[in-house]
Amino acid sequence: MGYDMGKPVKKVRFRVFRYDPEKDDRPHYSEYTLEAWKGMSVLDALNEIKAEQDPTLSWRQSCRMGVCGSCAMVINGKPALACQTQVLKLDTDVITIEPLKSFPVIKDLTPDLQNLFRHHTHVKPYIIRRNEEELTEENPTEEFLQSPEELEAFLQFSYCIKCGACVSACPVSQSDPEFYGPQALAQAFRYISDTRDEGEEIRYAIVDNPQGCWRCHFAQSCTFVCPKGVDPAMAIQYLKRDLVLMSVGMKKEKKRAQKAPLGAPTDRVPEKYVPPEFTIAKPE
Amino acid sequence: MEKKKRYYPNFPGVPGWIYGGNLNFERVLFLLHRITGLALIFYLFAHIIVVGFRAYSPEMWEMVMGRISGHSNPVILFFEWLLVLAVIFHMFNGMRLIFLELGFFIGKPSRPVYPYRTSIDRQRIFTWIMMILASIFVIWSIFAFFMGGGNHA
Repeated sequence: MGYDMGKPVKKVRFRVFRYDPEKDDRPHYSEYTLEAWKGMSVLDALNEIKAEQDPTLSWRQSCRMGVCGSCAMVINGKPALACQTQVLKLDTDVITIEPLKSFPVIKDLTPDLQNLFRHHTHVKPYIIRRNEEELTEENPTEEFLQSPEELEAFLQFSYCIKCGACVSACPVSQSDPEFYGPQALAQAFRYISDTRDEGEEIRYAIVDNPQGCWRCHFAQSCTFVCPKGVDPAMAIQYLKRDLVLMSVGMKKEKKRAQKAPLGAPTDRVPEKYVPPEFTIAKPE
Repeated sequence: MEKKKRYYPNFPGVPGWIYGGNLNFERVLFLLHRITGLALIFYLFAHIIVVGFRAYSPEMWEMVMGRISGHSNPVILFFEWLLVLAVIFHMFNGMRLIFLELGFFIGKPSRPVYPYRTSIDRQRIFTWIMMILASIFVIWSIFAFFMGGGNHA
């Protein structure tokens, strides 16, 4: 018993989606009852069920602390990371756990995320330089300079952990699997707004089509469920804004990162630099 | 005989707009925008057919309008009012979408510090203003349709 981390508070019933491709034709739900303790996450509950009640239950997990993005699943109708969802904070006696919607189910709670990564790679999520040798040099002599403000223009979108919660929540992705999805479009905007990148024309051409950013109808479900605050809905609206401004010739020239010879980083910190202030949320 | 392995296509399709879960406020607006948009398209076809009767003769037109106009039939008056509701909602939500999809009122990218403040929080006020404006027009439409406040003879 490695799970006794707190005193049991109340009994909670778990309705878990089950589908075994070797036995079942249709999915069904299994029910398990557990004593929930303070601090128990849904992932803890699943581990406890697997250890003590049903070893055939399967799902995907890795880091159990909201970093890897493996354990996204639909909990009480809302896509969320199982490791970040507290059982007692859900405040219900019955917790329904389903795999992510819009993705094929391999077994039980394990979705097949190939579609997500197909769209993700389609938008070229990496730095593109006109001079490709800059990226392949073995012994670099120069590096890019980027101010904190330029970093904050894309930092939020680079926090994406590819968990698939946004695609599962998106009503357009639910009815159209060829829609690139909030995740891929947010990554396209992340690299477009990076000052080091020079491939924005390629990426604008990729997302400027009926299955790309124009398919987004701004239901904002992606932002609503994102566990990392990435805000894909905002990124997609800025893609649309850029494309509209480009079509009327009002798009400003993109700022490029300057290059500087390699040296000690402290030499180049601007004198006026003030580190950003953090407000740390107090635990309840 | 070994059974062939296959994945379960967990694909909600169009019904997923309704039962797909996590119905945040903007998603409800998205759903209503789609439904009212479809209703307006169907109304447009019906409207063209009805108005097309004018091409036959004035008597035909009088006869058709005598049967299906809201003046003569309270049930049709009610449906006409529903149509006006759809127009009002579609108009104001459409204006909201034009502004938001062009990047107004959704804020700038910022450092994600927990608790995250996202574009949902930033555009909420604007959304509520548009919905309040729409509801003023809805109240006006009740007066115009059912209380004789409009130009109905």
